[in-house]
Amino acid sequence: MVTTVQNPLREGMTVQRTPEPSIMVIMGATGDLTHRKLMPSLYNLAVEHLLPNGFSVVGFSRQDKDHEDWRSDMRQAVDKYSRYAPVQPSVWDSFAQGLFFKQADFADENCYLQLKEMLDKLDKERGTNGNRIFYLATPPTVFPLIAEMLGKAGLVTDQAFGHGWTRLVIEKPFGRDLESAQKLNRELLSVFHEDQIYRIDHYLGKETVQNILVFRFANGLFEPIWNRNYIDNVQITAAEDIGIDRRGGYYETAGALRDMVQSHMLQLLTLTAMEAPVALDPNAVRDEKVKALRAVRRLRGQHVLQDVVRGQYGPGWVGGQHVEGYRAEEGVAPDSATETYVALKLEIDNWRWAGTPFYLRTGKRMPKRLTEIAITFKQAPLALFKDLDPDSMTPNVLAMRIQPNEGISLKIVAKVPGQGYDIQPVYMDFLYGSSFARQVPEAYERLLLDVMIGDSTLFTRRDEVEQAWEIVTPILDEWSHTPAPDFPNYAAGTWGPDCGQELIERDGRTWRVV
Amino acid sequence: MVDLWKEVTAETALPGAVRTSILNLVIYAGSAERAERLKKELAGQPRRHGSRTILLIADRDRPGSSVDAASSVRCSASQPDSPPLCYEEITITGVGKVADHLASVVVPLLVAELPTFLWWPGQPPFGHRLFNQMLGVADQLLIDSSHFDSPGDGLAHLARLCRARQGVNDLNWGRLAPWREVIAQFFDGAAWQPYAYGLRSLHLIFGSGTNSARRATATTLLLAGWIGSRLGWTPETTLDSLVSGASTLTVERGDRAIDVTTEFQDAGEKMAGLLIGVELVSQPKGLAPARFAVKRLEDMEHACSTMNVHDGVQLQRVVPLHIETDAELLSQELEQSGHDTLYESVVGVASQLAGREVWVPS
Repeated sequence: MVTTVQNPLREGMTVQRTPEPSIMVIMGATGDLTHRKLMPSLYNLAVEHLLPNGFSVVGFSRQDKDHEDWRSDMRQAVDKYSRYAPVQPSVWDSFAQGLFFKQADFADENCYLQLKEMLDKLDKERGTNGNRIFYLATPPTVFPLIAEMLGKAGLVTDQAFGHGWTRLVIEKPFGRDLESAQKLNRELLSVFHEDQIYRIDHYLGKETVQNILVFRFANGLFEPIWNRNYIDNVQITAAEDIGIDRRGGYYETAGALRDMVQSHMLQLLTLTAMEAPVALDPNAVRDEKVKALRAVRRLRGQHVLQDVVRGQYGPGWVGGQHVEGYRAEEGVAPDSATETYVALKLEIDNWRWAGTPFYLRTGKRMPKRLTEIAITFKQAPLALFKDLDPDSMTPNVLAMRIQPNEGISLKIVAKVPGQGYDIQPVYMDFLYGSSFARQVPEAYERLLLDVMIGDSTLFTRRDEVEQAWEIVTPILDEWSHTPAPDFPNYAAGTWGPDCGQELIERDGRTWRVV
Repeated sequence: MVDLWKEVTAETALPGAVRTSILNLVIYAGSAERAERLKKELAGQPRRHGSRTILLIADRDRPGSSVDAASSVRCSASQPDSPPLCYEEITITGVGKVADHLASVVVPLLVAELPTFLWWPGQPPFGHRLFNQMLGVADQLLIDSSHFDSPGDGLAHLARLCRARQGVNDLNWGRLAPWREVIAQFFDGAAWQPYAYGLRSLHLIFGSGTNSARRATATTLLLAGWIGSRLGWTPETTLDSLVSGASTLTVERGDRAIDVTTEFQDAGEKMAGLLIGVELVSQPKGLAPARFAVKRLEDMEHACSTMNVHDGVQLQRVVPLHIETDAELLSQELEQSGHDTLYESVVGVASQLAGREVWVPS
């Protein structure tokens, strides 16, 4: 359920979804996520007049700081990472009046009782009415502990909406496999209700990802042909030109399959494959996404070895710069078997998609940063043009570019002007930047505002997380008792190992040149 | 036009140039001088990119009857590393009698299947043949009510126009959008909602200077019309002449009279007629009185929003309140098409506040 505040002056306004005053408590307030994403996004919302009066943030972290120290740190972070940088001093000063810090030990119950006292006092001073968001920007290992302590300290109400509501926000990874994800869900649900939990996958906050739903279900043109009868295959690519960026410790325990496929890429797959929801409300949308995930054929045993390939980058050249191989990165074991590239072929066993493969590939240190979904349509009967160069007879491709150069392009073929019948591909292109002058908000801005409003449409539900792990866990299991390939098996700055090409080429197809 | 595009897309010129295909923008410039001014104003500004912009000049006094046309392709890079975005610009000069029949020249030049926005700077000659003809080819009318010579009459005409096929976009309404947002935010949240219904007075502060009374009148009518339309205010007195100095308008809600007052303060010529402050006083039944204020800061780029509930919460914050140029406002309005039902009901109430009887959409 999404509540809209019944403010008479909101009626008819463009911005009708406005949050009630609340306090956001950031657990792990001195970490990277808070610096790079959370605080800059909150400041951006303040600049855009989207934060409610009295909105306050309490940093809750181990480090010994006072309010002013933390405000100063946060100002530096906003100056560095906000899209509205440099900071506007007067806006910052009034925004910073609502920032507070509480030094804490996550395992100490007294700290939570002191936090409660602090929040109660702020409620009175700033009119926040007991509405609280607890954002866990901490390692996932402490999620259950913090949830338990919040409950014990009486900081969690039963309310997801109404007066004095409580909401919990957690960041991926939501477990390491199906079993740990289920355990985490059980632990969180012993303190919070499901409608109080917001599991963030920041991909869902991207405008272009949200546009997939609009594109599919608000255009009459595509939905009738969005099925196995007309679509030959779907390719989802998420390529990054960067390496692991000093996150060796985390990445060694994750790898590309957990880090990208289980979350972001399966989200893109579900949005592409799902049926139309009965309404644009959180549960209707997520019901359809779960149904799509349930229909994804589970890969086991030999099928894993056949339909999933992995790779790890060695040294190479990216953007004119020589870069080290993965094993030479900070925090990475010299004989690491962690995959930095994965490509897989998934089948969706339902009426719409049976027989249409979905190819997914993701990797670090690829030649460029790019995320897209490419729908390749079946070839037209070409008997009419059989004498022409067969290479010119390329199928229609609809590419939805998630980042960068956000937009949509449709490849069609056209006759080259002249006496003969030469055919060449041409592109119908929609670029966000050419059609809309306004700035695209950051994914976190949209998601943080949705949490404040209480709209969980763009957040992952418990069963969605578990379904995604049901797809990925058998692959991890198979890999765990199969020797890793001879890593590194691709050079930085290339499109992955040869086995990635072979995966698709054996079906008579090729990866899109992106 | 085809040759122009060939030149633009030739490898040596602007490789990768994108021809935008979003809308037709027809601008009634009137005179050649104004057309030049508008071109300069629009050039280089961040704006939504029309596929084709047609500037119209009516030169009634020149002897003869002819049409002069000039066309060009304009390109600009929207973002670094992005391809240049290009649109066509056609300037039409109607000489003599043709000046009153420019619609017949415009229709064949519109790009098919794209929405057509007609921008009429100043107060349009409502009811005049030329205006009606031009309106006939448009899907959307763009005006700026702050430039109306007679705001009360102009808004009353707009209220009637709202029954027509075309949607109406008012740059002045867009200019008020951040103010409306900050004011509405005072009453977000269940605890604050009663204060909206309990409003006792509305005080508006404008910058003094050239044409300030005319601009302030349109703004007063729109802002009071907005709040009045949401809260069911009815006029007790009317603002049937331009506001000057400390003007007062009284509205009623139930058995309660609500004063709407204005004031002018010197804030430099740039701010003449522009809103620089709003104060609302409220006292719902059984609750302590509260004061809500938004005031531009001296830098004129920010405003201080203050919420003061007696014996309770006192909050103050600074929000950006950039003074947007006409080109920036135009860019925003070109993204809004169709009927803005809120605006339509607001101009209805605004017309009543101005003492004009109009049909108000229910």
